[in-house]
Formats: sequence, structure tokens, C-alpha cells
Amino acid sequence: MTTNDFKGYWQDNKHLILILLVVWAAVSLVCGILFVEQLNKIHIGKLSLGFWVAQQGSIFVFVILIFNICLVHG
Amino acid sequence: MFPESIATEQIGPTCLSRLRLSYIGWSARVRETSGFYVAGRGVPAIANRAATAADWMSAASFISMAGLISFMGYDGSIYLMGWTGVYVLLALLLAPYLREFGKYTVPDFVGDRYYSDTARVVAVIAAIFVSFTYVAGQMRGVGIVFSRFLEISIEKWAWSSVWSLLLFSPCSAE
Repeated sequence: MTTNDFKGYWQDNKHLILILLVVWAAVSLVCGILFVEQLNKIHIGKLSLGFWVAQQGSIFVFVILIFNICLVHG
Repeated sequence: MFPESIATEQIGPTCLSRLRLSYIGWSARVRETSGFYVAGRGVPAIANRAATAADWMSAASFISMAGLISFMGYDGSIYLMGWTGVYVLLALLLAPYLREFGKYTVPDFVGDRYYSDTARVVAVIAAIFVSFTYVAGQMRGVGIVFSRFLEISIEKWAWSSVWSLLLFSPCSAE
């Protein structure tokens, strides 16, 4: 593999990691901590959405992210 | 030799059990570094992942995190998100490169990737702090659980687990 191939691979890698990190921050920090009050006004059944995202939904998303990076890396 | 107080008639069985543990450790000894750290890569992937998952369902999660969340209320969810979220960080930023570098421990990997011995020492100190904190909590949890089962004081159980670990690891590393 040439140096250019390596550069291209690393750029793609960084790009993917950045996207996944943005999703990670969005779910955990933004949804779980910063905007919980607003999200708590939406209700699924009897449960407020902000609470659910912090306790369960964020973990689902994290597992999906981990699967994603593992499948990409082979 | 016996930091916890043991009655005189218990010295015999205590010595016997420690010899037994040392023997088990010695029989499990391995020759190469890869044997000690990654079981010679001989464990099937699914069994390995199952063991990692079981490590998560340990005293730290069951007892400590459940207790923290029930006492802190919603604020306890930072521990939930932190726990799994940092796992995401590990998988994204550390794990693939650890494997490709062929190093077994994170301080080795950090020292080699960044060509810096200072970085390696910092990583070692951080690893020691983390391990110390985690193991202290686990030993306490073990003591609590078994003390309810068998009505032996928590301190004695904590000491027993520590002794088991101390005897097992050096023997198996040969």
C-alpha cells in the first residue's frame, strides 16, 4: 500500500470516528444531561422520554455504535 | 502471615487451603507472555466475550451501581451513561489499534505508539490507580455478599479473596 493509500484510509477512519463520536455526544450529553427537562415533557406511555434516553436509550445507541465500529474494522 | 485474626485451631485448615490454592495456580502455569495475558489465544471468541460480559455483572455493577442509582435518583444515570459511554470511547479510540500493534497492555501500547517512555509511565500510574479503585470496591462487594451467605465477618472474607488472588497469580505466571 502506498503512502497515499494509508492517508486515504486514515482520513476515512478519522471521518468515521468523528461521526460516531458526534452521535455519542449527542445521545449522552445533549439528550441525557443538557436537554433532559425539555425531553421529559414528551411521554411514551407513562414514562418521560428524557429519563428513558438517559437510562436505556443511550445504552442501546452505544451498543449500536460499538457494533458499527467493530463491523467496519473487520 | 495471618493479618486477620484466626483462632488457633483454624491455622491448620487455613494453611491447607492456601497450599491448595498455590497448587491450583502452579498447575495453571504458562510459559509465554501471551499465555498469561491472552490465554495463548486459545479461548474461542464467544467464550471470551461471555467472560467479559460476566465480568461486567460483578459486584461493582450489581451492588455498587444499583445502590448509587437508587440513592442518587436521576443523577445516578451519569454512572450508567459513563460506564457504557466510555466503553464506546475505548472501542473507537483504543481497541482496534491495540490489536494491530500486537501489544497486550495499554501502557506498552501507549509507550510504543507515541515513542515516549514518559507516556508509558503516566499510563502505568493511571492503570494502577484505576485497578486499585476497582479491586477495592470488588473485594468489599465480595465480602458483603459472602458475609450474608455464611455469616462470617466482611473483613475475613475480603482477606480470603485477597489471599486467593495473591497465591494464584504469581504461581500461574511461573
